[in-house]
Amino acid sequence: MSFALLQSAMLLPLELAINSMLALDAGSRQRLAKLAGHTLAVRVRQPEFTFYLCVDASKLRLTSHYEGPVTTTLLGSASALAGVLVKRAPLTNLQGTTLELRGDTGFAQSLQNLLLDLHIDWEFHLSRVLGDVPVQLLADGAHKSQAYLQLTAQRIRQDVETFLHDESALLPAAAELETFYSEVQALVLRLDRLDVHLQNLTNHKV
Amino acid sequence: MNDNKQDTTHFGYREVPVAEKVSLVGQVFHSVAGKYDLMNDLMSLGTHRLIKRFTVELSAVRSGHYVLDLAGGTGDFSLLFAPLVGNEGQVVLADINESMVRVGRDRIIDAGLPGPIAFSLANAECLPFADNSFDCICIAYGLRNVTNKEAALRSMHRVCKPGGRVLVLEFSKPRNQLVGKAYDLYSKLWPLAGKLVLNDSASYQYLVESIRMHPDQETLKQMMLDAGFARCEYHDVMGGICAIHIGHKS
Repeated sequence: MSFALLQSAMLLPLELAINSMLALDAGSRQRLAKLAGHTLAVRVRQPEFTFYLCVDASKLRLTSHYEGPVTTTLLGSASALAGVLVKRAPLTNLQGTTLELRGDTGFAQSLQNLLLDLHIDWEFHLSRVLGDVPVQLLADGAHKSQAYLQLTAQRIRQDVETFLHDESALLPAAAELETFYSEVQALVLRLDRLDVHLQNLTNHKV
Repeated sequence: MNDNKQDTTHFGYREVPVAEKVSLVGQVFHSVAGKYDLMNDLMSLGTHRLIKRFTVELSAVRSGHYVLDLAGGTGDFSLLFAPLVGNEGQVVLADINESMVRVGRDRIIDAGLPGPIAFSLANAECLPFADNSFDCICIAYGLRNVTNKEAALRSMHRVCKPGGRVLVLEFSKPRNQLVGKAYDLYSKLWPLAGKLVLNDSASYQYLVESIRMHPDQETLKQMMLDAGFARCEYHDVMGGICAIHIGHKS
């Protein structure tokens, strides 16, 4: 029971964080209301524990104990679940993973979309705390920095490619690779034909 | 001799006339009502909030349910139950102490949640509700202050709907001796905290003593079965410092 209390305690900050994020997205409440009354059970193996995401009209509740009807159950190891979360892979396509989804998969997908596709207007929310002018300056700085970083990263990538392909010739160019692959493919086909010829000749001789 | 024993009850470690206990407990809660929540946070180091949240999880309350938050005091449980029952259900915050209900009512109104919550000044021993009224009854840290616990449990059983459940969250007996000793030492600081925060150490001395006098897990379970509950189970919390008893009415 102490473990259950601990689990409940661990879910509390997660619930607060999720609901805080949802509150920042003006459209999330409407999308949440559409899913109200449904529950996703997450049964984790290794380590063994279960928790529930219950959707209310205005918030998500995370509980360690739930006795009502479950809409969808997601089963799998903690590492597999973490993998899906990190890759943001859709829950409706779990091929190649050890996860299992039972029940209404549409609800699971809608819930995942709700949590992953938040449209948060950070500038608006920050301006309520810091004021319009400082946030405008910060936003301009952030946008310029982002553009500069993207441009710089692109240039570095191009320079490295040029150096590796053209100047040092450490790596072949893409066209050279394609020619090489075509030649290998042609060789494979010729070998196949030769193999068939040999088999025919051997059969004829017998 | 027997008559004499029946006429007294314990108030902490003291034996007092039965008729006096209600007013003595009332004085304690009149005194602490204003800073009750602050003191709870200090004494439990905030863990009472987690325990209450867990108790609500065990209640299985859902939309449309009628819930009685008995000895509801400053409204912690009512605030947790209200979003669960929604507008189709109702939460009744009941307490014998007017000061506590007043603090709870103000807090709930300030939280903007008065919708599904009603208030009642009620004695747990003779609840002023019709038979089979509530899907769930929750009494948290309240039962040990009731003069006649058996009567309170029978009253809760009466107003609980068939198929409903009663949750009793209360201090209990730690399972581990080391935990028990550490807890005993820690709880001796509570009167001092009461003195510093409220200038009232006596109320918190009563709290410490009343915890020691409260029945242990198995005794309370048997009391609930004797009150008429068909099935009863309990969960130790923090090694038995607290326990959540769940009684089901058939």
